[in-house]
Amino acid sequence: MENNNIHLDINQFEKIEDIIYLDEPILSHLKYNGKDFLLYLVDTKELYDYFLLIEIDEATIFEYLTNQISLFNLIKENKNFQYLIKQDFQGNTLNIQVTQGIYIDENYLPDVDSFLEYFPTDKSYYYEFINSYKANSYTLSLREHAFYLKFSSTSSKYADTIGLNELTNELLVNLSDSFENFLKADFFQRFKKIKPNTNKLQKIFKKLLPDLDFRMVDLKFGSFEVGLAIDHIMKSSIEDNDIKDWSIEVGNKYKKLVLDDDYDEATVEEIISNYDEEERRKIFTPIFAITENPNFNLEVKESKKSNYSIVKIRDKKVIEKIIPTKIEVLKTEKKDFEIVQFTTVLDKNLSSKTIKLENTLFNSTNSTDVVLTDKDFEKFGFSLKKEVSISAQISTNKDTVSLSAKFNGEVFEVNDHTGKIEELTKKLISKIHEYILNTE
Amino acid sequence: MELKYQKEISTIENCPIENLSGEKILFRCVEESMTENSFLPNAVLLKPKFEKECLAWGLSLFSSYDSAKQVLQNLSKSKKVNYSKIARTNLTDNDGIKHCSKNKSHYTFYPQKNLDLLTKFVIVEENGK
Repeated sequence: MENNNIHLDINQFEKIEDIIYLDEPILSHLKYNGKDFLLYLVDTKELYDYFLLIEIDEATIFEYLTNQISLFNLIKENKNFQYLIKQDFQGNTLNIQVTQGIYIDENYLPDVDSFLEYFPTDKSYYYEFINSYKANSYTLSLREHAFYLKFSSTSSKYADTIGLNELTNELLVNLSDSFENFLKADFFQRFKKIKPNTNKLQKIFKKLLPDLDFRMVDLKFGSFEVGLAIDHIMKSSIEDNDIKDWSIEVGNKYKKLVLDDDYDEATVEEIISNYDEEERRKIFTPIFAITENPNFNLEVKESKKSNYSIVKIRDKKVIEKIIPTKIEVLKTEKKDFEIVQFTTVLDKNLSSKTIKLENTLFNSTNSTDVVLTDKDFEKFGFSLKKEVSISAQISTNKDTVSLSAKFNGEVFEVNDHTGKIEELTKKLISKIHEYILNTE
Repeated sequence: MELKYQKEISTIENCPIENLSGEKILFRCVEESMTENSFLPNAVLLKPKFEKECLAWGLSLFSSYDSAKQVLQNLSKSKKVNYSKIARTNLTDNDGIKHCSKNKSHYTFYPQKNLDLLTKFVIVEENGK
């Protein structure tokens, strides 16, 4: 080695692949100690090759291979130290100079527009590398435009962690139902005038629905935090421009109107003017079920770096305004009682006590007489300590059953709408028992 | 088929690694004035470090004019002295052995011993014709 103090053996670096090969390797990707490097053959003079060794990150290599950054800028803008290596034709390193991108000799640099599009075969390291980066960069690009929701428990017992059951059954299902109902309502509101054929509109919506779903692009556990994004890229396949524009905007509209953190007057007015009561009920009931549940907090933020704010409707009149309470008419069933009297003849030798009622075997009336004895009093827990026999009459009048009795010249009467004679008898006995206790 | 530098190539195991059959139009980066030197595997002839590298005994060709041009644009100004033009060829199976490797745009061509490369390649301009 010539006179320098840097000892660096390129042969110890692992070669990943030659990116540019022109009769010999021109630009090679190397790895050493987990770090990525590019080795760029910049000159060949007399008996020597001159290389530039550049430490670089994988993301920049991906950008270079996919025509996003030029080799010129990759070198010039690289902030790491770069190494100019002189090597003989045997492969021995003779000299190393440390330099920086901005000081590289012009003759060692490629054209300003030194872009490259690398098409790897499936044998290439870059085949998986590029596919994986493309998938990740898609997620990253979605994440940049994602808004975030956080579900947490208000119970200090579990810190702010959320149970799996609560998450799936009470939170995510409600959110998903609300969003789907919103999509449907907004789609038909928007396009029913332009495309009046309802069946056709239904078909379009059904086909569109899977593409409208928010993409989950970020996740955090404990309290459950999720980043949701609208997939702009996939929506490019929608041919109708109006529908495409709507599908790109509808996610934001949902976030603005439904996941609003304060439901101010303007938002509420927009909600009411855009959607009818039934649509609002379907959209907002699942969300209010979360926000009004004292066991959870639902928080929302505009982006990963923003701060969360709790979705909470402080003025409960707002909820009533968006989803008015349904006035339900209670239907009471009118009963029409009658007393049925019948006589049965049973074969004493038969164990079965089933009585078959035939219309011809009994008749009906609206009143009948019964006798209440001290045994009946005891049966209901009222002790008399003497024998009694009180004549009572059961009568019906439409939906009312009455039980009345005359005792010591006093008339006792109880009425009931349920038709439960036992209860009625107990009430009457209670009244008579009380009278007996007070008069004796 | 005997190739140019067959003796040296034969000393390397599994070289050439494969043979892509069929006629194919390919492009090569050459000097301003094309000479026999434009078709010598200079790297290996000059540099002993490549002696046992199979690819170095072949010639680099590219699948399109644009991919050859991209390579030229990515060469340093110093290295571009030997490569400034793009020549086009239509190779048949009789011309030698050719194959693609990890980069779909890059082919390595091992010419048949008696092939006249200077007549086989024609310098082309921007549109590749």
